[in-house]
Amino acid sequence: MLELRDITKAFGDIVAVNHLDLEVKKGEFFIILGPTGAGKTTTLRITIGLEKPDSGKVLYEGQDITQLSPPLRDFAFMFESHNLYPVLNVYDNLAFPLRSPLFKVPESEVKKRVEAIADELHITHLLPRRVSHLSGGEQQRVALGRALIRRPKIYILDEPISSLDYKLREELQTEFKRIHEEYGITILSATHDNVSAMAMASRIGIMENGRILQVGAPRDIYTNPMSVSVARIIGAPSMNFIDCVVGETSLWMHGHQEFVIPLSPPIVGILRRELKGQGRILVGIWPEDIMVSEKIQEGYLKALVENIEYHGAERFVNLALGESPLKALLIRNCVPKHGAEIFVFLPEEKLYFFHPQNGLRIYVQLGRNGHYAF
Amino acid sequence: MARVRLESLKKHYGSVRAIDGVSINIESGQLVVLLGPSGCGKTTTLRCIAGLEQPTMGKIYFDDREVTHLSPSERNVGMVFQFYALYPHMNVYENITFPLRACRVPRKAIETKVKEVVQIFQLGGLLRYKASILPPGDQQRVALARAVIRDPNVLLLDEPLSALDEKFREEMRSELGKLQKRIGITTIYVTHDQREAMALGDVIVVMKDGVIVQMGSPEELYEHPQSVFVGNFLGTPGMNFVECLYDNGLLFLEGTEHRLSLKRSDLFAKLSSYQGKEVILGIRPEYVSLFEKSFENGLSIAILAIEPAGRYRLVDFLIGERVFRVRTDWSLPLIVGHKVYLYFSEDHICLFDRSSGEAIVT
Repeated sequence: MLELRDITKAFGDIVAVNHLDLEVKKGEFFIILGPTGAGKTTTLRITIGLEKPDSGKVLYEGQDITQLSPPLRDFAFMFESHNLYPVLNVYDNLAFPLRSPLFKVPESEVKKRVEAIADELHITHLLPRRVSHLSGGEQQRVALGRALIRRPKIYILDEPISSLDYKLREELQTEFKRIHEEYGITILSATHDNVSAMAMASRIGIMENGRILQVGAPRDIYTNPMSVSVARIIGAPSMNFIDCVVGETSLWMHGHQEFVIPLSPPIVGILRRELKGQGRILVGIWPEDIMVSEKIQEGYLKALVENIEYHGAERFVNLALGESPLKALLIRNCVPKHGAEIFVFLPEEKLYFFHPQNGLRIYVQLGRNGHYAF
Repeated sequence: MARVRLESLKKHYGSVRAIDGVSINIESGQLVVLLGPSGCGKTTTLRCIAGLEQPTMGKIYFDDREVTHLSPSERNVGMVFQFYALYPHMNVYENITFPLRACRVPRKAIETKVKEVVQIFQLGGLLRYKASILPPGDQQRVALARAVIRDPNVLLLDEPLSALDEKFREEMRSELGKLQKRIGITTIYVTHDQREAMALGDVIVVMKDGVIVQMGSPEELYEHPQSVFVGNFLGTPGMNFVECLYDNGLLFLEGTEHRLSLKRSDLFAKLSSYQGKEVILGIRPEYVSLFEKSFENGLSIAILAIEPAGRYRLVDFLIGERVFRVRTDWSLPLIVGHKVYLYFSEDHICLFDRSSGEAIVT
């Protein structure tokens, strides 16, 4: 439906968007996820038409719209600072886009649609109030209502909820998701908040340094990140990374030959081939995949407990494995103390391997018969 | 490093009661979090402890010494604020030694002290860099090092992480927790972010409108909230609430045809005075299980939305007017719009008085 093709945009020496390709399908909730400064906002501004790319094209249903002005594109957008008119009341703010001379909607129809959208978003009681008198969350709902009141081709939302406190965020996250599904609309959004991105998106595009690194369904990216950067950006808490050395027949922690991570021979073979004889490798593992025990067991490595983080539904332990910090999910009855020894096991099938220089994934997959396939 | 005791502390600005009778006992080496929405009085409490505000009434003790009327410098506290307040034109060495140089500590003693904090905070390679060019992670370590270099009685932190990106905040939070345990310094931490409070606190003090609503370990507060406010405030997402009518061991869930028959006898006793009255049922998203097939006491309901969260997902339902969330793994195939059966773990049910919001059973 919407396609960005080989877009580049620089501001002076700074390349904000760097040969970016992106496709949003009809009916999709597509979220660009990345840290501050990744180029997310610039990408959205180019899509809307507020910014012209230095090179590349914006296509809408196959048509080149790169040079089209924003109103002619008929995209609705909502920014982090939501640009409501503080002096107008909620009703007039909602009605504003419909009253644009471009659309000429009759006033009776305006009334009908304002009331319908207010009802949908549970803000009917706010209609006569001035926007400047509303709370942050209420303002965000009004801004959302104003974006929804027209039926534009696509909705562009920049950090729609990340400036709100997390309780409101949770609430609006569900609201966005419900509206997206009920209205069957197409949304392109951007955020640095991985939790809300995972919760809302049909697909996520991971962005860093002006490039899209990986695109996929939230769960697919989580279970199959293609680089260290992607794994860092997607998870909460983050994936653990351990600096390791691949030897003749096994894998150990760099600088700690006594910390051996047992691997089956075919995997060692693949890693050796991929590294072309180089020894160093970055090993990744999600906190929930590390097995933790208070007693020593076969194949477990000794670590020290730094502290426990309570997350409500679950608890994590911060460990020091040699010099490597690790975070592991704790099972219910395990209550280690600060400074205590603890034992961890890193199951082979849960490990992710990355090239030490470029951070790209080295794929080793379990084949159909339990044999490792390359 | 000291114990800290607040005795019925009050701070009034004219008719505004910023804090209105706050008493807390903090053990030596503990990290205590003052948690609450903006305007709850948490920062004012911290400022009173620092000596930046004079309380209207009440007393503050470090160990057994009263410090209520001492100046900030006489109290020897270390402070870190949201933007770290490092001196941008000074290098890291000058920044962390500033408090010592200001008190004219002899050079030799300074060097010994620097060696110590450099090791704890891993600042070895950074000493000659200007503070302003460091990434935020290093800046935080410098700010903490500067705050503890004088061996303060207590370390006070005011929303130190709230200006950071979501992702980065989580990493810095872990780092901060580890450092605090390594130094073992008594720490008071102010935040409005319950995730930070839960992850870092040995004790959490939940405040609202200038008073303490509930105080305890993260686990106590999470599992046994004494009010709807605390149940909702803590947790990502917060506790689920459903309005119910109680009748003879049965809870009739409003907005559904469902009734839940209670088996725990301790619940009956506590609910005896609520016969025929309305109560609020509270349950955490992880204490509700989902099943494809019907069974006794299961609530049949259609899925409103599914929110993936990496290793688990949240499944949303609508009960009455409220969104009801269930936390579940990826084993069951779930489709939006399809019906499933919800089963409430009775051991983890909380019940609240409908008018006051106070807990009946938790």
